[in-house]
Amino acid sequence: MSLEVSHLSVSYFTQKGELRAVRDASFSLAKRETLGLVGESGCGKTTLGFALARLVPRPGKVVRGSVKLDGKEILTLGDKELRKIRGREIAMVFQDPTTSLNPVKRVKDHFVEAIRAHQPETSKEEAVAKCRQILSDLGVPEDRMKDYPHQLSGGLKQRVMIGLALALDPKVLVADEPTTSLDVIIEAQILDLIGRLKAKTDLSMLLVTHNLGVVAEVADRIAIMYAGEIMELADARTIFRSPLFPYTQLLLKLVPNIEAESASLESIPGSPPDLTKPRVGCQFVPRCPFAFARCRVEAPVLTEVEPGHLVACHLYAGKEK
Amino acid sequence: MGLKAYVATRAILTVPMLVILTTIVFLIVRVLPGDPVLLHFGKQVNPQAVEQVRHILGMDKPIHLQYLDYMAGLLRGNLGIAFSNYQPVSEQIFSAFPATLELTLYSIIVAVLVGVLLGARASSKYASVGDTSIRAFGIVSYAIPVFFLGLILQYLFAIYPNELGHSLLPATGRISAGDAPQGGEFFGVHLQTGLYTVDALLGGSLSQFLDAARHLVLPSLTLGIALSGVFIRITRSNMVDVLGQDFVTAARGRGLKERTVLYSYGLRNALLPILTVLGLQFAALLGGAILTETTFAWGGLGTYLYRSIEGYDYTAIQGAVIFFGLLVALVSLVIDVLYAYLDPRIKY
Repeated sequence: MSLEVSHLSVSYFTQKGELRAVRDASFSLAKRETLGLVGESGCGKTTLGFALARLVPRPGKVVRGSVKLDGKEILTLGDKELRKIRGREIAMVFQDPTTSLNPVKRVKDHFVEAIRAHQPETSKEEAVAKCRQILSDLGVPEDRMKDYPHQLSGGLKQRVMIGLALALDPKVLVADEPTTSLDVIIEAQILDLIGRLKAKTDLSMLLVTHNLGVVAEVADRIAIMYAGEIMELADARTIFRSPLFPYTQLLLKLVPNIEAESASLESIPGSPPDLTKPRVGCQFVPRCPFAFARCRVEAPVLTEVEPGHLVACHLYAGKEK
Repeated sequence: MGLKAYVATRAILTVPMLVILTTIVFLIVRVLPGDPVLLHFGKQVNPQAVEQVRHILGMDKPIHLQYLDYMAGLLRGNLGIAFSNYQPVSEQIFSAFPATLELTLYSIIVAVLVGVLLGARASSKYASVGDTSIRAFGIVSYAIPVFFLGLILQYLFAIYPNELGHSLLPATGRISAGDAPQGGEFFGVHLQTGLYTVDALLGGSLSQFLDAARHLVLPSLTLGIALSGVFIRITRSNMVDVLGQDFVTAARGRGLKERTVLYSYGLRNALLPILTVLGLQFAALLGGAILTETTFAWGGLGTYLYRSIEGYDYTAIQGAVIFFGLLVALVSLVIDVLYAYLDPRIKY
């Protein structure tokens, strides 16, 4: 087992009150596994990804839970220990490559700095050589090393970001919507690239996205998040073939099918709840076509209803394994 | 366009700016009530002598001819003769300027060190007690009248210790009694800058250097602290902005030290606005810090301009303002060129 997250809760302490962005999230990530974390905007998926490396920005705070990497608790590490983990064991790739690089640093200096922060004994020349090797594996022309970020295209920047994230052979990669800001052709290239890199190493990946097409292509297992909670978790095939949670079912129906008769785009009626005022019971009640009395008073707990298939829904009560 | 072409264009654009500035100052001093010639004579006025002085100064001509005369002189680099003592204005300015420049340099160093470091610190402790205290210090230092701060420092570090029989720091002046440092050989050339600390080092005299430095401590602390508030505010607000950006989170995510993140990512990307303010303040100070110069009997351009205005010395006022205009143009050009070095995205 590589990464073990249990009962993780993250809140933003805003002037409007406590915004509970992630509530009681538990999942694990095995070696080499890719877990897709799917949900709509504002459901807390990015916050959850950030929390794994304790990067939740102020005024956010992890209020409860544990994140263990190979048995080592990350949430209680001191600053120095935490720095050793970041980049070296858990690495991040962000949504928008255009804002993720320091505008006044050359590409290669980002690498030199990151490599030497963790391996001070590495000489500058060795670090540059490593940077050259990484970038050529990623299909970035060698002469772009000397460029500043603003001289690179979005696709190249994201390749550089991926290279930077993988420069120190981390165990876990948290990729937060790594292709959202790219066009579809570059998206396909980047996904293909991530897939090939993963095949060569023991890297585990948490892929945060709202794009079902992307997870279908890349993920081994999928976690569906709604209003700060993980509502369903199963392997990718099961999620797509036999989803259990009503939100997941509706979500999959929405994927436009070019051969379908209806030309209109469908949506789930209603809107996501205000996370500063969580309701009693299941968060999905107002939008759920199957909601019944129990859903309004008691929050469902994520439970295994089939081998490897977990869902938090009262519809499946009594089916626990 | 290329850097050289940019600098050349800017230099050429300075000319119309100076012409407009000169014209405005020329007219304003003449519109103001008061007659510089009559002021010289006091109560006993001999009309013939007055006419003679008017003639010598060119004041008997119609105003448009006076203007053309003055502009023609400017073209030859001649700032004219001061009304008050018949000395060339340019000489007077060049003798007053080094005192101002020296005070400006040291004050700016104090202001930037105090302001930028505290501002950076405040941004890293955003919304904490430390942040609030630094902001409070910034506001107080900005609001406090500079002569008041100067008087307090003078009393605390010069006058009071003196009463107790210790001479800690001198209260006024640029050097103790004796000759000013004369400069010295520098790569085979005799160099005298008029900056006493520099001249003392060039002449190889440590005691003169220490003497000049001791005299600089209080006035440059006064001006530096008074200015630091602006730097605290601009540094803090810009760094709070930058530190919230993705590339800073990304840097933390790569396990970089917090110091690296704060300075090489945060401050480095907040430098441009700080540099802009630095240029404006530097240029403003070069025009002479009248209140500070008066408090510390410093005798730079500020004092010169103040005396010239008091004495209706038209040519001296014009000369000082034109000189100041040139300095502002020069400083802002240097700042613009520095932008390109600080930010690879800026190209000329």
